[in-house]
Amino acid sequence: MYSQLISWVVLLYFLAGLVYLLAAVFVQPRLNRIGLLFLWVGLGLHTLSLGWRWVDSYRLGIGHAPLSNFYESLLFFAWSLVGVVLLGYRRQARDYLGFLTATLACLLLAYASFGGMAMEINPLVPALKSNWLVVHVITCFLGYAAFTLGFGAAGLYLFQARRPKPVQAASGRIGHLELDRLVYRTTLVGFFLLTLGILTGAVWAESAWGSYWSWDPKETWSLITWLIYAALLHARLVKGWYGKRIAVLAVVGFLAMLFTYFGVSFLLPGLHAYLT
Amino acid sequence: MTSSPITPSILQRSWKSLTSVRLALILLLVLALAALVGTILPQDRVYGFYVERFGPQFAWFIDRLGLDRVYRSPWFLALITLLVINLVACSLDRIPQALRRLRHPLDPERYLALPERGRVHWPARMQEAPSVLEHDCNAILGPGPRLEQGETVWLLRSRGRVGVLGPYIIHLSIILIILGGMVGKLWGVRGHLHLVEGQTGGALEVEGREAELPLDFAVRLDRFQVEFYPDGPPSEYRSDLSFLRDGREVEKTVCRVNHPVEFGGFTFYQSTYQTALGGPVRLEVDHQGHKTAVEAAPRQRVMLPDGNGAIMVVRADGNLQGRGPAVQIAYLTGRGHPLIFWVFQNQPPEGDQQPGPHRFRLAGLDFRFTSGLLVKRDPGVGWVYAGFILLLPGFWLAFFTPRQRWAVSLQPDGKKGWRLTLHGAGDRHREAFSHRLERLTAKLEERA
Repeated sequence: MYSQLISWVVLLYFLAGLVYLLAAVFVQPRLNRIGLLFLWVGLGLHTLSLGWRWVDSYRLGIGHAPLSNFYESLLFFAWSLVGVVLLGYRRQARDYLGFLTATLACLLLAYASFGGMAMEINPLVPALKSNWLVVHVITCFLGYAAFTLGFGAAGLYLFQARRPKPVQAASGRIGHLELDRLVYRTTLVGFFLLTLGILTGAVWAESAWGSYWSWDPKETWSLITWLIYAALLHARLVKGWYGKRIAVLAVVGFLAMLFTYFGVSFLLPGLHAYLT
Repeated sequence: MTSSPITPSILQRSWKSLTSVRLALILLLVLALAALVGTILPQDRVYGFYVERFGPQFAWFIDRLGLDRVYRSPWFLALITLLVINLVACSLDRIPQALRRLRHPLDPERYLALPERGRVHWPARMQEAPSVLEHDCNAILGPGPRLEQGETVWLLRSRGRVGVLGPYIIHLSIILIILGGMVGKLWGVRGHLHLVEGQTGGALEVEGREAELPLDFAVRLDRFQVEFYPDGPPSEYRSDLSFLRDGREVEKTVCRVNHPVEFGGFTFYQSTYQTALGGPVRLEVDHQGHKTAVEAAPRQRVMLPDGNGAIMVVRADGNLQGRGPAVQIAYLTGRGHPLIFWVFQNQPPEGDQQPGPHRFRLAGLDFRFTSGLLVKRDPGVGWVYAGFILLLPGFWLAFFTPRQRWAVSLQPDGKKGWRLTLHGAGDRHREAFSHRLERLTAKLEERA
């Protein structure tokens, strides 16, 4: 069963986080490789379990991609986070940053498994039966994942900035400059993907509901997130902001993204209500 | 009239603040905040709702500021207009410079001042060093001019110059999207059409309008179908439509959820449907093994044939709990309250929780569907989609086209051979720059 498979993935991500933490605390860069290995194996099993669930939905005669309710979205969010880190930012995913991403993925999956939410595969309502579903959800969540990594880097930057002693580059630790650049790069990628997510959502809404934009809470909050990250990019590229101020903006953008994902689903009613 | 020296200065100053990035930043964040208010405060409720929830003073305040209709309020539209003006002003202000940089890319003096990034030595036996270098540079950095200063040969290269247009393309597409939205609001039409099977409609119900909006054609609902998942909920519903002009059928088409159809400049969306009973329900009544047939019109009290009871059909469902068609009936026998329960077509009465003594089975029923269609015409959608499409190359150029400038020099170094110096800069794209630097250095060292 894929739920058992997910438990293994939770364990692997947890171990990866633990190993990364040890690598960071005891300054043992070699441990990072073991953490990376755990992450890879975890991602492999994670992918397998998603595929399994997809196949299962066809066995039930209601075949659709496993991206249709809150439980499935959590599984895919965790997958995107680890996937984006492993495919795009392997070199930066070490020490504390590796610990943060692995632990966050582990917590997301644990919440999905033990949070008491509906885990069954349900048929899609007619409005959701569209090829746009897959494109829309995948772009949005990959964007979320990039923003989350950027948030980790920004948080770490702000935390390190509090300490007077600069991090020694020789120790293999991630320095200020690298974190600052990582915040910028992940924001770029996340912004591009979020934009694609909003556009595909708009095109889909136009064909399903006859309105590409209806100020639905989810739409509005994705716009708020987009505006904050747009401000970040302008501050960076045109005004030359860097470091602390960019990190703070990245944190604010991430909080808006978090509200777009979780807050809207639970607190504000709207078109995306089937998520809950 | 006296020409005041202050006037141009005020103009210049206001132009400067209109083109400033600071204004753009403030607008982006203020718009985010305004949009946030609209999601937290319930929108489009009656005045009394706000009075009850926030008190009369706050309700007055909310009403005056238009906080109950943020996205239509004048100040929100003013903010968006200001953003568009800011975008246009910024672009007008900076495009000439960007075009100059695009057309006249190479200013040798600026190139020769680029910071040094690395050195390579070539042995003296190297034949035709300048042309070998030019070949390698062309392969990795692309073609470009060659400059000679005494014995030193300079190769100047620039890459990704077209990227400077990226931000303006993005801004243009944002403007197109906003304009498209406004065009749709101003000249678009949005209405509903509710048709029963067989009915023909020629006018739209438009929200906020008393009279219906007549169309210059008519629509007939020929057939409506719903399909269900095995466990109950509808999986698909569709309307078979005919479009008529002057009473003659012009086109037949099928409108499904997620698959709108177009006719006469309007788009038709399958939006909702209602199920109602289309005629009397046929029931089979079993009273101690004695079976009789009863026809019951919906919501009408019908005496049972043996006179010992009465029923009324309350409502019907096309697929109740995934168990097929069913009607809910109120059953009255003797004195007391009527009992209400569901009667199925595909299941024997023994399986149901029917109280008796009469037991019922649904023998047949006709549904009459009302299809709810959303009909709209939005001349702005094309603009919006043009903006969407334009955003992609804009993003590509602005964020993923690394801009790089290179100057590679070759100098005879006495008897030792040749000295190569690599200069360059890749603002905003350091990874791409260092990656290319590595490739170039590796290639040049391989020659030695």
